[in-house]
Amino acid sequence: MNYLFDILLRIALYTLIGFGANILVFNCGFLILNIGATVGLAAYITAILMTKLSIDFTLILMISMASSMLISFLLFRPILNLQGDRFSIASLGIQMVIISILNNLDGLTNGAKGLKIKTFASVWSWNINTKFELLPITLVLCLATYYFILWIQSIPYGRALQGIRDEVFTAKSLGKNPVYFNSLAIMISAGLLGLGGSLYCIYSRYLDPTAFGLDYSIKVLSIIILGGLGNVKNIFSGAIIIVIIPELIRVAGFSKADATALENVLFGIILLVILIGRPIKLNEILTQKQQL
Amino acid sequence: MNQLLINGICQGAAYGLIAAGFGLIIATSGVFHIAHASVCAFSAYAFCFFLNSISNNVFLAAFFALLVSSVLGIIIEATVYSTLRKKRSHDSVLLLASIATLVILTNILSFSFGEKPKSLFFGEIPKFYFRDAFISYAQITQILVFIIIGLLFYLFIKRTRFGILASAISQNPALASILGIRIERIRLLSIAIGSAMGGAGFILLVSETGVDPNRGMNSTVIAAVSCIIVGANRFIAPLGSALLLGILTSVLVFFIPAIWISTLIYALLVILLVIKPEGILIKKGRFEEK
Repeated sequence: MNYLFDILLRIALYTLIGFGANILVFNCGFLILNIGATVGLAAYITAILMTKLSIDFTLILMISMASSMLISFLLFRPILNLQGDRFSIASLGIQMVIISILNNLDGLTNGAKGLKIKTFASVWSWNINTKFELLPITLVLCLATYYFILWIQSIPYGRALQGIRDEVFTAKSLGKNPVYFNSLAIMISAGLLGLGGSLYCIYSRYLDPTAFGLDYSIKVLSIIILGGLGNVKNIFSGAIIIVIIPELIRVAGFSKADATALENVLFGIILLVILIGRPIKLNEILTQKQQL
Repeated sequence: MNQLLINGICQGAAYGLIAAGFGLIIATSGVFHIAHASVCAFSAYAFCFFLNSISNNVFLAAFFALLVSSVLGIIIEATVYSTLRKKRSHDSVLLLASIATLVILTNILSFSFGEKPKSLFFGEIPKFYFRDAFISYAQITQILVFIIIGLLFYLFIKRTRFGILASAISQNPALASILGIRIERIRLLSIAIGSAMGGAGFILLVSETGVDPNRGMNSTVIAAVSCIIVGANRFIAPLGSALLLGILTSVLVFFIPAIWISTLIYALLVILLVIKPEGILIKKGRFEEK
């Protein structure tokens, strides 16, 4: 039973993170590669706050989401004007910078050895001790995020985002400032990724910088591309596939390191096959997108 | 300090070869070929494998390793990049495909050889004393190979038709294909040469320290930085800029802790992209587009 909860939790977490990345990739047409770093940073902030301060988890969640939003805004603001693949390359650079900082700050993050979290999160004096107790919280937040994303896409702000993505000059002539709209989208996305990171932190209770590397970004990108980009519901099915495949590999009886490597190979192949086989949607979004 | 300078020159020589190969590939193919890192790592593992299990002739092993990296480069270009280009993919999609290739190849290496660093040679490499610094024979080989391959590369770019064709493709692929240049063939040739140079540089780089699957990333980012510094469409200049960058990173160890150097280099990539975005490629579109 515990095993089933574990799988359900991981699916919910990946769905949540997929929602966060989907705003930038689909609604804005930015192919970001630093998803892993944003999630990891929020997870580390949560972990450090949990060990250093004994405050309510809702407060910790808010602080880590806010700091993740602020850091993403500050990092993305200078590179927002880069064209074509240069934006993606710059986000790749940001990913590697953050991961290597997390790796090097031995005093705070315990470096490559990994950070163990000993305290339990408490929400309104209710301790979250088991995965069974974490599951309802995650599911509620996941559902809330789903409706939040649908709401964003339906309000004028969401339509303005897609307008900026497809026809930047028309949007500009209608008085929509691309930098303002895209910065806000980046902050919303970073907030959701941060939420996912915080929940991941209390789920796994052990953080290690290599877990949030480029492999992680590729995994999340495969989730949102696998379901057919733009269809918010299908992110859920993408997450199911991404969680089930490694379990099948583990069942087949490989050692842990081998299974991780094999799993990454499979995800890379899945992504490559989708890109080569049916690149239409992603490609359409990216080629329609014009310079700010 | 002298020791750091000498180490820097040798390291920079290896980076120079990787950077020149990387520059040639991104100029002709128009892809930010980040999978170069794993191709380099593959060639080092091939070198290691050949020495350990087939024969202990270093020259044969080097030939085998360069062959492996060239073939791998050609496979990537022929199966991934050229197919995606035919589908008129956006540059970012090509980059994503390159990263997916990188993840696949790196994890194949760690699946089959393990995450732990593997040393290329057994035993101590002999050293001798010069002024107040040690120089090992591996370092002398690094500089010699850098000079030989650098000269060959210079002659190849400047004295053969290939150099002109490559720079024509990098400036305007559409015009080049109209004028009857066999653009796919040049791309395959340049990725083969670039991968072989990258493999050679990487084997020299890790000859003393040993290789692990993720080692290639750092040197590929240095290669990218040194290509952006000199600007697009310059094939010889990355040799020099990467040499300088290698010396700089080695000497910087004197002032800041060594672990922060790679962080600085990654940050430098982002900063350079912001202040000099035209450094990667001149062209605006690819010839299959529009």
